[in-house]
Amino acid sequence: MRGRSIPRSSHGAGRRVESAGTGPRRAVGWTVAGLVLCWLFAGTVQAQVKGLILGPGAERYRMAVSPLRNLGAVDDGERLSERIADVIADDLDRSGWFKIIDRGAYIENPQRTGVRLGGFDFRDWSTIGAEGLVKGAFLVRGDRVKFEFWLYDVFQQRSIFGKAYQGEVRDARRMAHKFVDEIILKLTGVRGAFDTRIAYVSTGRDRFKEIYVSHLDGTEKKKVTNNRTINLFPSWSPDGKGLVFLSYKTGKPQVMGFDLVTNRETPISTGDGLNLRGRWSLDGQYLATPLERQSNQDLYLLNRSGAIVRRLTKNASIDISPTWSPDGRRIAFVSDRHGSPQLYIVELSTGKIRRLTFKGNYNQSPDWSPTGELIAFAGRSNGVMKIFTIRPDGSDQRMITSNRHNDEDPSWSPDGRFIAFTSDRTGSRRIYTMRRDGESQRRLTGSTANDTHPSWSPRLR
Amino acid sequence: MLRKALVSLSCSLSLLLLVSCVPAPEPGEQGTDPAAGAQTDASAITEGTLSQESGQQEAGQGLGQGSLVAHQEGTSPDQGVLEDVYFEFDRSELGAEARDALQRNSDWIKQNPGVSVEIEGHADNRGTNEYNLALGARRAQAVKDYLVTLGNAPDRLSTISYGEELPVCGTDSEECWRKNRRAHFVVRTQKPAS
Repeated sequence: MRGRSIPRSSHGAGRRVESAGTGPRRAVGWTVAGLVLCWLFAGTVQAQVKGLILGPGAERYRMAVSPLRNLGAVDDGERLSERIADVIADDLDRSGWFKIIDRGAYIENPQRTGVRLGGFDFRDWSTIGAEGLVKGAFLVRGDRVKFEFWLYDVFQQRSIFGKAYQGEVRDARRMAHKFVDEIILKLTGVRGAFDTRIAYVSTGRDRFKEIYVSHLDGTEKKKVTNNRTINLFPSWSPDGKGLVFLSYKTGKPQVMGFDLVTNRETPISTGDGLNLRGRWSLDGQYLATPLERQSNQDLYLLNRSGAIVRRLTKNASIDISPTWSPDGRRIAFVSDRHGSPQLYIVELSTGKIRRLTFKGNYNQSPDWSPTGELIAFAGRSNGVMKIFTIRPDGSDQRMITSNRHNDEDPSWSPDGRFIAFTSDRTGSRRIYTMRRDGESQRRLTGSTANDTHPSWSPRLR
Repeated sequence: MLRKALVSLSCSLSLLLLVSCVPAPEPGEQGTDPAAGAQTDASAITEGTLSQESGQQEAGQGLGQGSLVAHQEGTSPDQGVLEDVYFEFDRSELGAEARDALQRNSDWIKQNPGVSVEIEGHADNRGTNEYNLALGARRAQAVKDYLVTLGNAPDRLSTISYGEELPVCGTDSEECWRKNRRAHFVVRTQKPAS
């Protein structure tokens, strides 16, 4: 088995290079007939596993993630074998659909067994109760690494799919996240969202609020601002390459843009007054933003050059925190026009505004799910802030966090299945993720004290 | 530059002489932050850092310190001659106590035509930072509006909101929240940039 090579490719770092594919997929190739067959095949897998793990109250799918086999002649100095298996296991666990079988129970020696069909014994895995199995191998050459990953159905003793990746060793974790995103695509029909980043505010070890960006697993943490003042409300541009945030670096609150590719910071608003967080429409054409006039916040639509296209609200109340419906037709926002902060929705075609929330007297920070069917928000209940979801028609309001601490700042994952939020449950504020039903709450790996305002990136390219 | 500083200093000193109705602060020790000295025991020597951009006065004669500057220096903002005023939770209306304090602040501002005043709006830490920034802006504006009705020129008054970002009291208690729901004043000898 040692002689097996990873599929070769000339593509760039970190990119998926080739679909290793299962038998039927590889045999048919990318003809039209092949595409149809592939689709049918994928459909079968989906139906099988989807029913198993995604039904309401379903058992979690018991999954084993074997340490990876080192195909190289040199020692695994970076400990990629375990580290990358850990990344995959952590992601699968965070998703809430899988129960990861502890590595201590594994029987086979991953360095002495193959990773493809016939190279290992399924009974080593069915014995310990695994329903699914991830195996993989890697080969390091200098700064570069090649991976192959496989997902197996242990009950049926067959492969579900395999993928190969290659790139820089420092991108190894991203390749693992991408494979997990593929697993979730295969098993649920929607690509996962683990190859993403979180932007957030942190006071770190001093008292200044700076903007940071890190991967979901806490790696590649990058300090975006370092101006020793107050920086707030990071939010992503729709292409995932830039951020906007509010900064007091000049002594006055000002909206800043930051290009994560060029590391350049540019002021976006230059006018006087408090310009709070705006949000780009998904097509990037319009910015919905509160503008301060006479110290009163009303909502406006600006075009890409910053000119006012339309005024959306006009009254003496606070109108802030806009969030777009994914079809770009509606904007939910916060207003205290009837005394206490509540959520409202403005229909852009008619300009009509209707009130969305009626329960509770302090509802704030809405985030419209990228799939459209739910709006998450923070609302006060029994003196503390909790995360809620509600349908855009105002029905089915649910409190999805229920401890007695403060949970705030909900931000959807790009697949619409998870919500990042801030909680002070450990005494200081940290960032957590959970499924949209409130299950599977996990602290963001690497989130330290006083991390707030998570903003989940779009999918990375 | 030096000339400007001297003009400004003498202006500040002459201001102090004018303000006989206000309890005069203890003069600070040489080389210390006089504003900090003004609020501490005369025998205790405290040290503070002065900043050129901070909007502080050169000699800081009780004119109030900006909350962001104080935060950067790791100190509490000094209250100057103008009194802070306080608000109810999630409200920006001015109570009787606040209106009395603003009447006194207004009298001082009228007696000192050379100064401009920055009004900072603050909130307690309940609710979201974003909403609280908007609330702070509204509180600052409510104070400004009231000072204008008392006869002060609007162009001498500017507002800024810090929301819940710069609390003066750090625990989660009703007493602390009350202290944090405030408007704070910083006196400047130059007009605010328009």
